[in-house]
Amino acid sequence: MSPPVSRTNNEGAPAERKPSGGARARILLVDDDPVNQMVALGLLRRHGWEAVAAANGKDALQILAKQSFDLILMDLQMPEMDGYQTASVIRQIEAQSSSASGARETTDAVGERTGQRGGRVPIIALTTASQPGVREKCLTAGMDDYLTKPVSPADLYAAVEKYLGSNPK
Amino acid sequence: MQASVEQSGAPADKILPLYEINRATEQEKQTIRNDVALTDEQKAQKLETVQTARENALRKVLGEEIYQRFLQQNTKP
Repeated sequence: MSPPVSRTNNEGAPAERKPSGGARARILLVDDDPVNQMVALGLLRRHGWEAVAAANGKDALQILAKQSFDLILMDLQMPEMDGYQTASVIRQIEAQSSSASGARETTDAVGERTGQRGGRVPIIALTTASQPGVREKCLTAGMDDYLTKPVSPADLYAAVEKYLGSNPK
Repeated sequence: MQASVEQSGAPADKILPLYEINRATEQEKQTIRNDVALTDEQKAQKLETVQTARENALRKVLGEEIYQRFLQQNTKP
């Protein structure tokens, strides 16, 4: 696991990109702030990725039980179930799903869905700068990286491309 | 899941203005939270003012119709 990198909010105009063909990478955005959702979904789709939003951790787990994703962008402070809890649950489910994979018939829908695209879905936390000890807490919860909100278009694209590759596919 | 303004993403021409509003709001909130001269009550008041300013800015950027739709989708009954 590479260490999370704190990013500065550089400006960057969201250049529109078209997918290069084939299935587009799918991203689940988990954020309770509807304006953040609007901005992030707009940016991600404009870049050619498929993006779906969940308003909290519980919603995210429900969506993950039905759909598979290549990457998860996770807000940390949310009602119902926060980002740390949600990430921990996703990792637990993935681990259970993976350890039972020998002669398994997976019964856990989330594990099955997240496992479809390589077994471990990268999770990037979305944090506010004021949260202390965020790096350690993110790692402990099983997240891979974090971005400081509000995330600039350039930083968002760089982080997503780091885990998905530069192709929207 | 019900389609909504945020689920469909911001219209292309609104993305950067919305981002700028978020950025300015977050910076302002950060400054208030870090201001040791303010009491918790003063911080709460100032944060509320910032939130109101954010809503006004959103209304301006989104336009009244989309803003009202946005409010309806995000107001708990």
